[in-house]
Amino acid sequence: MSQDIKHVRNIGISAHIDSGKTTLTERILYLTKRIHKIHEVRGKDGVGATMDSMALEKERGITIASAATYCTWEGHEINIIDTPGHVDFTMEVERSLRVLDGAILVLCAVGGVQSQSITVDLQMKRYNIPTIAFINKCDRSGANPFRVIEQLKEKLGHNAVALELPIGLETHHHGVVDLISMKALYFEGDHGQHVKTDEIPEELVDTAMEKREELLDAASMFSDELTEAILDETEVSETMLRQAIRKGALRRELTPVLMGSAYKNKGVHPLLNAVCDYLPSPDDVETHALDITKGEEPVRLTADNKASLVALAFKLEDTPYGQLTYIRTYQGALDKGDTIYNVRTGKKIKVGRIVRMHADKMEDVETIPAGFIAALFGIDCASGDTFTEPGVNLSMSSMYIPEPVITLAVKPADYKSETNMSKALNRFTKEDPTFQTHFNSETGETLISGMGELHLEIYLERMKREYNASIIAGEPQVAYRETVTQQANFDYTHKKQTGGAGQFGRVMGYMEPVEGEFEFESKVTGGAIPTHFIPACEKGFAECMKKGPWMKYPVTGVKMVLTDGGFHAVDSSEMAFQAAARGAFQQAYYKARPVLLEPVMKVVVETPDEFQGNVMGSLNQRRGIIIGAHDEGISTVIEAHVPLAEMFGYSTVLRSLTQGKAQFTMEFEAYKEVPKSVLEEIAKKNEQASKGGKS
Amino acid sequence: MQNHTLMRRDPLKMIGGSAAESIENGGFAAILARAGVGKTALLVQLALHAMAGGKNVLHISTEDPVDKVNLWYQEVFHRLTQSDNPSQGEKIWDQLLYNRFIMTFETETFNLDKVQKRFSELMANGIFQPRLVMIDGFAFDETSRPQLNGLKDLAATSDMTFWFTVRTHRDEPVDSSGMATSFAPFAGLFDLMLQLYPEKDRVYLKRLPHAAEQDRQDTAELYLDPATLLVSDSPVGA
Repeated sequence: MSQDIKHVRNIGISAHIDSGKTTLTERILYLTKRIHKIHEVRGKDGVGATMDSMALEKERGITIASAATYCTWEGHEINIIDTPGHVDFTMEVERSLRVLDGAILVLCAVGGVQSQSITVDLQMKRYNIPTIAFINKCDRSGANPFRVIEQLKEKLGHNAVALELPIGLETHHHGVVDLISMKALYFEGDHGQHVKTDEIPEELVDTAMEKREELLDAASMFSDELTEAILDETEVSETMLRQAIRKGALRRELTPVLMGSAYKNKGVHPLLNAVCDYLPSPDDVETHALDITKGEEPVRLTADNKASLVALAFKLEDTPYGQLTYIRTYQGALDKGDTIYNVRTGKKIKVGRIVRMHADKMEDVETIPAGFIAALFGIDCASGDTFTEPGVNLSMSSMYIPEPVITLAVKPADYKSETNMSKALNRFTKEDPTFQTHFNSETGETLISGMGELHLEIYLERMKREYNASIIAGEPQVAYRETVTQQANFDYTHKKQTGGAGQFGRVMGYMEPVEGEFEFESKVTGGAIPTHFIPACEKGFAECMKKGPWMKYPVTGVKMVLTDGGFHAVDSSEMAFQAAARGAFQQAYYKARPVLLEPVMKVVVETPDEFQGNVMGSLNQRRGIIIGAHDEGISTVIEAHVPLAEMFGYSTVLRSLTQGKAQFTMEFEAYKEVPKSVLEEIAKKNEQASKGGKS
Repeated sequence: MQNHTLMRRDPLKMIGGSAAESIENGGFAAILARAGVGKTALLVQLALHAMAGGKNVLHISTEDPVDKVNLWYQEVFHRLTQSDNPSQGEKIWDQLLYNRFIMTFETETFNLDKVQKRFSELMANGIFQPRLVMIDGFAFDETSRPQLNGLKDLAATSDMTFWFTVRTHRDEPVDSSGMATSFAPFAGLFDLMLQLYPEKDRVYLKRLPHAAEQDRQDTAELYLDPATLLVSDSPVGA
């Protein structure tokens, strides 16, 4: 394993469905000698049905979709990391993306920038990941790579510049002109493995000169040396030009564009060279961890083997040999036999086996240097856990886990699905702390909770696809909360003397709003309530928080203060004080002016200009407050705060409003008070539901 | 909200004279200053006061993204309401948001035609009916005069007030009233013009007279508190 971090690339390949991501990945693995045969994506019968990549992988037993596949090219180590295709803000997506240092954005030369290309590009933008573009399928009829470059500029706002020119298009696509070396490249051999360099075909010389000028213009923005060379009309060396492009690409201010046809084995070599030349090494990227001892203050990490270890477990996989934990070291090296510390659980673990994943096999290694990716066996942890040296309290992700805002009931459709569902739920909750499951013993239902409708939909889909579990899902329910808005006193006596031992407990004090979930304070003096009954009072209050007396939703933001009380030498007991506390809670609750809170989401819609009025109207209708709209030329990004209860089914509405051209993301913003008019509706619905339940 | 600090501190009332009246029934107003002196801060104070009074404010920026503009509002709001009850503050803030709409544009693609188009869309769909429009970062030049005239007509017919920030330059020549010569040709369009100018360690706020009222005298001496950028009328040096 090379120890030189400058030669490491951790990259993702992002693409629109059907733009050839699987074929391209496979060609890369073939050229880097990780697989030795090429299987076509298209079926043998030649009908042309494209198999879905998951089925394809299963059939062949290769792991091109595994969390990270390792290969080497020209002295560089490249880890290809699986990138999720959805932008919903889940912890899993965030983690996969933060492991990447750079990405290849694959586009179809015919289809161009499509809605999903916009989606994956948004991901890269959000995490500030430098990108190079590969325009695939130049051999297909209707291919027009320069139209795609224009779309990259207009639709995605990239400063895209071609590094190549196609030699022929559609059925005449034979190779590419490299605008840096000004040579024609042809790919020969059964699988295009031999690159033949030649002079530029005469008919393309003028276009090549013109496109090279554009490239020089764009690159000169990032290098004074290059600008001088251009102005002085001295020779522009290949290295000088490459360095300038690299500088622009690393800053995300320039997007180098390559082209070819992965299926016809054209243009993959230069793409691999470009990955090495223009995408960052872990050392080029600034990463931060959070210092837990200092209120999650960010701490800059250095990709230095000698520094103390900080590593992130970003993906778990079930294998016949047990749990495989994919890990990326950000700082310090991790050796076999080391004792590491799980920051979340506080447990110390000894590192047994370290492996790195190839396309179809794994290789044992002794150490993972800083900035590298590998996998560990026999480590019990959840995805997203940070490992450090014992004594170092740095975490790669915030320890704060937001409360889920939406819940739905799920049940397996048959017996076989029951086991699979429980396996899947077990795995998902380990992967994603914002995804939670509960069993409701009152109704006998399994409830899954998460951060949004789409978030839960993704897991339902994964249960079906990955675990073969057919699931019947109920209607999504919003996680409402109750809270109080003013101080209220209580004085409650619990007294029961009807046969047998009596019960007596008196509690006095007040209830008040507080930030956070629940607080309890005892100011009882002089033994008005014996000390050993105080915890029983707290328990009684805390129990009431689970289900509010008013609307039966969990209560939050309440402080209970006990100031006085009374007891009976014989009849007082823990049970009696718990009951007294429950009574007191009920008594004070209505006086403390309870209100209902609902989760409000930050919704961001990106829509073509012409539909923005419709989109804003649709958000307005949903009780949304539009914070603002940013005009990006041909598209507009609208940001609004909308109650989650109003967002169910919004993706369908948005699709029909905008001919499917707009997309939205949604994340939890805050809990806000439910307006009176809506409150009445909720109360009515609850009443009907409880009546329905009883009948 | 009537007794809230936001309502009590009306920057225009503090300027005194006829400043508030001059744009009471709509019109054009401008804040002139060099970069970094406090144009946006003053604009946001004016907007917050209007919002607290129940007026809808459309804030247009060609320089900052939505999040940053929102942050300006949050910060100025917190500074203005520091002395108030914090739990009330959050409630008031939530209410104020209903009265505000931020629209941001890329500087290169911004023009007043677009603004006018957006207006009609907002109003036609009943999404937002602004009473005040704050345009932050518009570069005045002769090519935009027809659009400015169009907006001026709109202001008159719909009782809307348009506030513009005008960036002047350090070395730019000024006329006898202290107005930057590059802006002077447009001054006739404006009913109220305020200039911010830094002197020593203070930023002073002065009302510029327009052609019709060369002899008007304003007595109040105002400045922006350099720490908070809020309008203050405490005596200089206090």
